[in-house]
Amino acid sequence: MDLDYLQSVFPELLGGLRVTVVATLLGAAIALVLGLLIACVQVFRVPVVHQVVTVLVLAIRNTPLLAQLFFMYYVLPRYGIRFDAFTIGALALGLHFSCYAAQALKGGFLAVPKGQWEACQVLGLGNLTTLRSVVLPQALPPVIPTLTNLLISMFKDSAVLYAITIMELLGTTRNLASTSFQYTTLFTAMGLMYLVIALPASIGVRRYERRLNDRTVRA
Amino acid sequence: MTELSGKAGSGIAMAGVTKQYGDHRVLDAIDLDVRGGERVALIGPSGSGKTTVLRCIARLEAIESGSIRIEGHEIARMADARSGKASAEVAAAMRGVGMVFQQYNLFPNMTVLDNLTIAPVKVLGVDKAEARERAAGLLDLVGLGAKADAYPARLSGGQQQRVAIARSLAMQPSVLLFDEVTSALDPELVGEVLEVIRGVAAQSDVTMLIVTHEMQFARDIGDRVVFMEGGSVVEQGPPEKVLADPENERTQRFLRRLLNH
Repeated sequence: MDLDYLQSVFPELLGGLRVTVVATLLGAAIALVLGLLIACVQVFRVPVVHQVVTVLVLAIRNTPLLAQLFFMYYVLPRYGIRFDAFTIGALALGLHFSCYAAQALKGGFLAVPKGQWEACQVLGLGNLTTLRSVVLPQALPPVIPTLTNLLISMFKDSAVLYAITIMELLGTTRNLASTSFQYTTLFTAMGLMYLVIALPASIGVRRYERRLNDRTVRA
Repeated sequence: MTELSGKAGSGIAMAGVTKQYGDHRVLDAIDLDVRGGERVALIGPSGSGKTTVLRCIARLEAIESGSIRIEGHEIARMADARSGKASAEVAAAMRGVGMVFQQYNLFPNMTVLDNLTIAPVKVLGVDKAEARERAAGLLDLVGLGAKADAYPARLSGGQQQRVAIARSLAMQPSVLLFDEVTSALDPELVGEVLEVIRGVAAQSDVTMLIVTHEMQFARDIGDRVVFMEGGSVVEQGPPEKVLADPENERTQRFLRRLLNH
C-alpha cells in the first residue's frame, strides 16, 4: 500500500464513489416506482398490460444486466431515443431491478389477507385509498429487507456502468491504475470504499429483520 | 344519541340469483326478500350457500344470473360484474350496505378510532373532527369507548368484533349483513357480541340479514327465520314456527342434528 499515492488520488476516488452512489439512488427511485407499478398491474391483473408486462419482466430477469445496458446504450439511439450515458445507466439499473422489486412487492401485496381487501370494498374505499391506507402499510414492512438487499445488489452491480464510459468508482480506479500501475493500493482502496457503504446497510437489514420477527411473534 | 342508521328503504330483493363455482352451483335461482327494517336470520347447514348470499349482496361475488336490488337499485348487473367496476348508481346504493365479517377484518395498521373514521372521511367526505366525534359515540355504544387509541391486535376477539360492528355503523348503513360474526370467537366472548347486535337492532331501524349458527339468537332477533339448503330457500317464517315446529322434512332434520349435538 502506497499511502502517499493514495492520498494524492483520494479525491478522484471519492468522485467516482459519488457517481456510483448517485447512480444507485436514481436507479433505486426508478426501480421502486416501476416495481410498484408492475406489482399493481400483476396483482390487479390489468388486461393486456398485465400480459405485456409479464413478458418484459421475464425478458429482463433472464438476460444479463450488462447486455441490457449495451442494448439501451447502442440500440435505442438508432430509433431516435437519445440520452446521455449517465441517464441510460440509471435507467438500465432501475429497469433491471424494478423486475425484482416488483416480485418482492407482489409477494407483500398477496400476503395481505383477502379479508382486508374485502373490508375496504364493503366500506366503499376506492382502489387508491385501499392501496395507500390499508394494503401498502401492511405489505411494505415485511418486504423492506428484500428491497434493501436489492439496493445493496444494485450498488455493487452499478460497476457495470463503467462499460458505457461512466466514470463511477470501478472505472475511476481502473483509469488511475492504467497510468500509475498502483494496482494493490488502488483496488484495495476501491474494495474498502464499496464495503464502507454496503456493510452498514447489510447489518441494518439484519437488525430490522430481527425486530420485525420479534414484533410479529408478539402480535 | 346520533342516528345509528340511514333511512330504512325497501330493503333487499333477490330474484332468481344463481351463483356457480365451476361445476358447483352454490346458489340455485334463489329468491329472497328482506323488507326495509326487517331482521332476518339465515340458517342452514354449512355449504348451503348462506354466506354466498351475503357476499353476493355485498358485491364481493359476481352472480351468473338473476337480480339483486338494494333499496330498489339493481346492484348485480352482469355488465358491472364483468368489468368489476360499479356504476355511480351502484356505488351509491352500495354505500348503504355494511357488512360484518367472521374474521372481523379490522385494519391492523390503524388505531380503533381510525378504523371507524377512514370510510366516512374518505368516502362520504365527512369532516375529520365530526367523524371522530361520531366514532367515539359508536365506540361508547359497543362499550369500547376506552379503546379508541388501541390497535386491534391489543383487543380480544369479542372486542375486535364489536369494533367491526361500530365500523360498519360509522357509514350509517340502511342494510347490515352479518356473516357468522361469532363463529371465530371463544364461547365466553359470543354473548357480548350478540348483546351489541341486539342493542343496534333495538336502537335503529336498519335492515339486518344475519347468517348465524346461534339458534337462540336467531329466535330472539329475527322477525323471520329463513332456512337454506342446497343453494335455495327451503322454509321460512316466524322464528317460533320455523325453529320449533318446522314443516319441511329437511328443516326438521337440520334442527334435530343441531339438538343432538
